[in-house]
Amino acid sequence: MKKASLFMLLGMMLLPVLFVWGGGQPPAEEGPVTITIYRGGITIDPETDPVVLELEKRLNVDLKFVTAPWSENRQKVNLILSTGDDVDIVTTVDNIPKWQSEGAIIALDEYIGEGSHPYIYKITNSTTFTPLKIEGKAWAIPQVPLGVAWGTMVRQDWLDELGMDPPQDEEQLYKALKGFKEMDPSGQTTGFQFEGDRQIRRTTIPIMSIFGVPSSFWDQHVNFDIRGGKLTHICTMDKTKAALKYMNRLYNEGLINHDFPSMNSFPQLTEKYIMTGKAGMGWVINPFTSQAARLKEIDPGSEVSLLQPFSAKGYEFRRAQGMMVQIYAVVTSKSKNPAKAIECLEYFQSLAGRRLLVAGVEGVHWSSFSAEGIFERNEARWEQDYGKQLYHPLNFYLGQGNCEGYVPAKDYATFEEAYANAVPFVPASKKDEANVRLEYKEGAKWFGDPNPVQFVLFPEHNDLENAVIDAIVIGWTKCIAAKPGEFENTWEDHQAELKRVGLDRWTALYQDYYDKNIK
Amino acid sequence: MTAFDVFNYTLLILFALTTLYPLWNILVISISTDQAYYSDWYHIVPKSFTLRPYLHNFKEIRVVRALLVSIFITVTGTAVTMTVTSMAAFFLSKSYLRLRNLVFILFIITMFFDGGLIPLYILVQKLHLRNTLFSLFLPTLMSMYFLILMKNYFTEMPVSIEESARIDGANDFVILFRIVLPSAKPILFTISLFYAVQFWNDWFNALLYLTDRKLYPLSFYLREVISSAITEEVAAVVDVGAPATIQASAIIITVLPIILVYPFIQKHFVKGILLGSTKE
Amino acid sequence: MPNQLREIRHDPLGKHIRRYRYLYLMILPALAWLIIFRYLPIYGVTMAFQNFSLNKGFFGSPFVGLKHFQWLLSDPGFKRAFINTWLINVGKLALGFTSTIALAILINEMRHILVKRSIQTITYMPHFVSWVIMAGIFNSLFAYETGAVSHLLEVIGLGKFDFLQDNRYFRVFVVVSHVWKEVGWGSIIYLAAIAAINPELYEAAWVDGAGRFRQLLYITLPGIASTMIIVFILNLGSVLNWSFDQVYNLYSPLVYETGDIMQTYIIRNLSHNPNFSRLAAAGFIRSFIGMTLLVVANSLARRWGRASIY
Repeated sequence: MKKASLFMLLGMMLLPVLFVWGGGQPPAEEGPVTITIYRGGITIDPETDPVVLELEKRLNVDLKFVTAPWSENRQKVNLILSTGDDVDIVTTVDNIPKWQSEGAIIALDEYIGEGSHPYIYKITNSTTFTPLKIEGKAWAIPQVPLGVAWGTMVRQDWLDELGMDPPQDEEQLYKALKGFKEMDPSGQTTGFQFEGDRQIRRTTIPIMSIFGVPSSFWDQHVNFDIRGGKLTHICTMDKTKAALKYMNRLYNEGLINHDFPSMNSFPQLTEKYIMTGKAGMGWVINPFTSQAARLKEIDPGSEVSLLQPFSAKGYEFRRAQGMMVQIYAVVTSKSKNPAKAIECLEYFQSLAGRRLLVAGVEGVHWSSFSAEGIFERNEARWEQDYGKQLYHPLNFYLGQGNCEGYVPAKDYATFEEAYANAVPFVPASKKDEANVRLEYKEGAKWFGDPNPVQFVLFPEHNDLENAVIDAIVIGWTKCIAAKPGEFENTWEDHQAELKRVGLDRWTALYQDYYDKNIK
Repeated sequence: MTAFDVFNYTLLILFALTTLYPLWNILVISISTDQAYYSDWYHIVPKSFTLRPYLHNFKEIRVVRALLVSIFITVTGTAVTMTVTSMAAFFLSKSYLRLRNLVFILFIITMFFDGGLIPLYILVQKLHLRNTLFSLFLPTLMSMYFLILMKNYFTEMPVSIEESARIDGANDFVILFRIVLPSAKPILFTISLFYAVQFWNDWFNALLYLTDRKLYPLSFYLREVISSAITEEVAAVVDVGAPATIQASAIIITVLPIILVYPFIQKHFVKGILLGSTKE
Repeated sequence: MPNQLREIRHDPLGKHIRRYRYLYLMILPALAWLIIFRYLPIYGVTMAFQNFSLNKGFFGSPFVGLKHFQWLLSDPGFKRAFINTWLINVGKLALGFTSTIALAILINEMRHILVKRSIQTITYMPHFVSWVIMAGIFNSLFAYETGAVSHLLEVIGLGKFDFLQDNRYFRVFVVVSHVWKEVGWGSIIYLAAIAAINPELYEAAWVDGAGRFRQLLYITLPGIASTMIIVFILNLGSVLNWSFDQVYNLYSPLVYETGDIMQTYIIRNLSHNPNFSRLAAAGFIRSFIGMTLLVVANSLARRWGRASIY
């Protein structure tokens, strides 16, 4: 017994030693270079996936993937960049100035040429993204979605039942929502589904727009109304007050879900309200035709249509502003083959690369592509390989984010022009069902005015930025959820708080930048 | 049955009903069809039955592998840590050991101060433990909390148990493993249960150290499945059915082993009291 | 005999270790693990005292002393979060401590084995449901207008409470819901401790005519006293670290005033602009206070004489 336990102990203590000794370097091989890419939520098997194998063949690389579940995506990205892991390309990164100052990523300029890397060159030098340059160099490739496939969905079947037309002003909107609520005797139905917390910025877009406030999908703290060269932050505008007051009225009558302040996940929200038939309207950020299809499976009588823009009485409709991108692809400073990595990234954006990543392997999954981006899919083979998925899973964020198409950077002088002429890919069989093109056109009615200062950052003023963001989120939530009769006071408090945290200073920073660089 | 008993049973049964609700709710959701799920608000009475959410979790053969990985790290991790922890607790319970207090303070300091994620990650990297199964239980092997609970238990045990064995010439290893531990069944099973639950549920180590998906433990694998079912961009184009049902089935899968194992441990809790109370 | 004892007490260290060599061997694996996985990486604590930059690493980042601590302690948001953390977590400690013991005792008093075991199993179930899920369930149940519990409270005449969005009730809700969720699992350690009490003591008491209540007072409670003290002191040491998952999933801007705790406050600011050093400094403050609490509590426990951690 004695000896046995002693040996066991020694054995256990030797284990770590074995591991330190073990693991040498494999002998250096000739042949394809290994490129390791981080991308969240990978569900395919890279060893056997036809698209990956084809990519490796065309690029003459050995592709390895590091991944994490989407819910842990940000943490994993931070970890990889913080610890200098053996990864060449990292996608879905944000806060580029931070990683640049930490020395975790490399500058791309010396590797890209306009002829050899048309997409990367154009996008990093475009006027929209010039503010992203640090020390005059480009450090990251923005991942832009093809277009804007959102809008406000409304239950057309409910409108029909109420005998109402789609609302043309805020009073009609109110009546419609009230009608929706009263249709449900249990009282559980609300009218408009709302997201809260920091997502309040995008949920409020429909209402803000009809009151003429240039709101945005991303950061409210960089939302300014620019007239005659003067910047006014939207939080101080009277129109914003009118919009919030209207929302407060809706809230107090139960026409906005009461739990919105703690609802910060769009999928959860949609699952809870729209999919269960407990909300008649909502700002949807996914291709809504797919959601509508799902809703139809659940409730065959449902009909979903998109709200057309209108204005509140006495106001002028204003689209939400900005470009929907806040994530980037970077090449790490630990990469041993940066040139090859960048070559891969460029290929992912090329026409051949996009077709591969979105539609699959030519001759296997599809046979022909029309100029408008409609392709003939081999349905049997696709279903066998990828089940019911519309597009290849690697498409997301490996290349353009949410982009099911191609931006023809080679054919246009500037990135903005190319982007405006982007070609969405749609399988012929789904041409009408997932009417991606229609969605983008409809969505563009609500979103897409340019915001010249969207990508301007001031890393030295992080604390100010945090304080401003907090003040906006808290202020708007409180205004919308104000008890009856309390709105005016709450608004005044909100204005006072904005002053206290320094919104004036914040606006001045952007005004300065605007005067110097844009005017 | 006294009045107190009636009160006690009523109170506890009511309380148990409230604590039953969440898991019951989740169970009902996990066997609901999409239609039934969306039309029901409270999910108390099952309105449908389908095993589709469970099948979605099991549709890949990888899940079997993930299950085996989880079983391996739970069993191995618990076995290793219980050995190490009980030896350490035994040591710490002997007040005549001169270095004991020093060692103890070394342990306690780590309860409050640790270097954070980055140094640990670099260390694991340098030890070449990254992407191995060992990285899933070695870095978080011991819990000071459980160690102290165990040490306290040993301190409370009467010395007489050991004395007769010592007089017979047995060394400390024999005493610990042959005599002390068998008499310490309640604490042994309790701490083992706590550790086992920890290892079974942990996914953070997998997130940090694993790049090879083949090594994913079940907890992490399920997290991936759920994540892809509810991510905005993915959910729009992939038809998985109501994400909540998949999430619910994943929770049930994770909790089920613990509920099944627990009764075997319960046996050892009842012993002490039952003997003294049968003469009511 | 006395000579022998004197020898043992005055052993030089080497001889002492050799005498108890098996015991010292026993501590080696744990000690090895501790040194490798806890002490080797401990240089990371210096992050709180630097302007940490990944580029420069731990040994190259500039040393800034207490700058981050000064920022934190003068920031009104952090101060408010600090107070909320205390109030919520100490509330949990107090209520949780008493409830887990009470539950263990009550379960123990049950005679019917099947019911007893089922109740034990059922009461620990919520422990395994994460706060992400539980928050979703609570949002439905306790919703002001549409929640089942709200309706129930209205029906029995207690009126309506906006638990999740009203600053008057949020903290209480957090404390009570946490205790409800964890009391079952927390009582397991006490059930184990009760099981360890010598049954002969109960027999002897019964023979002497002591009823159940006296048995509880004079045998059960003293029997688990050391466990109670240890658990309490250990919890006190970690009390400032609790509540993150729960609050993060339950709170909203409407209740930041009473519900925002240190970790949620820092996370909110971090998610936009990661400042590792500030995060480390906040953690350091929590650890330092926790350690002080533990040391003080332990000294008091030692003086009392019943049981202590060291």
